[in-house]
Amino acid sequence: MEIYQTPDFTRQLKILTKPKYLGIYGTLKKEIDNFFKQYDTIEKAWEKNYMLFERPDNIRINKVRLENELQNSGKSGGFRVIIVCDKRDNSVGLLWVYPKTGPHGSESTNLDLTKKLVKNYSRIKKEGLLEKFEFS
Amino acid sequence: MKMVIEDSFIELQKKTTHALIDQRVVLSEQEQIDTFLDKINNIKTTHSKLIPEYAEAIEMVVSFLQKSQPIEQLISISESINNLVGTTKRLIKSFGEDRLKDCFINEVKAYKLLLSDINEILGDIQNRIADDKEMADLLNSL
Repeated sequence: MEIYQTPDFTRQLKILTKPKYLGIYGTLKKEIDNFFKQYDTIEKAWEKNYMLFERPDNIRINKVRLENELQNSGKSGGFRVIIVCDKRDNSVGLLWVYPKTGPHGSESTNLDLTKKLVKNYSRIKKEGLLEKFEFS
Repeated sequence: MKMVIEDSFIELQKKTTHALIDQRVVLSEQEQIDTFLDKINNIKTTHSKLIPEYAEAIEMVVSFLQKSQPIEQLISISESINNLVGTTKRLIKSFGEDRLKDCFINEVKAYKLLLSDINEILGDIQNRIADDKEMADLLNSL
């Protein structure tokens, strides 16, 4: 399974992993790495997350729930990653990431943002400009 | 001299009586504090069991949402979550109104996180129920 990340995701990850947030969001990259090491096939990424939207049989927008070890608040107070799973080319695209708590804490993403993220992903994928996600 | 002694005894008696009364009050307050602390500990124990159960219930909903589900089931589960949102809000409010709210800061924090989580899930389910046409078109364009 290939894992890609959009510029939206990269930008957001860069913000959350700034040194000043080390004590709050310092384990984010490790959490994402661990998740994709465990769910390393398209079937697992497809099924083991909760689905936001789908095009039956081959495309799903999923929400990954990750813990934040530093907050000790389980998945409820952890991170969320919005991903697109595409069975046609065995790929996962990372669209967005946000924490549930802390200075950048957010309850959720609204529908308009999700649409914008999918639109951006679609455009960048067609242009062949998606970056590969690199494990730490 | 006798008068002086009598006066001083009377004074001493008064002081002793006051001391006894004061001690009784102190003991009584101590008992009240103990009872009160017991009650707080009981309440804390109840919530320390309830909070993980709540988190487990959320994970059950998450598992349910991993698969495509008939719209009727999504509507039914969203109604249950909506009710839970209401009772959780009332619970958090009841802590806030209590004079002892400082004793339950951690519990309130935990319930607020759980509330934020179920609010998020509820919104996501409602989006699935709404079956947004623009989103469907976007997915078809991928």
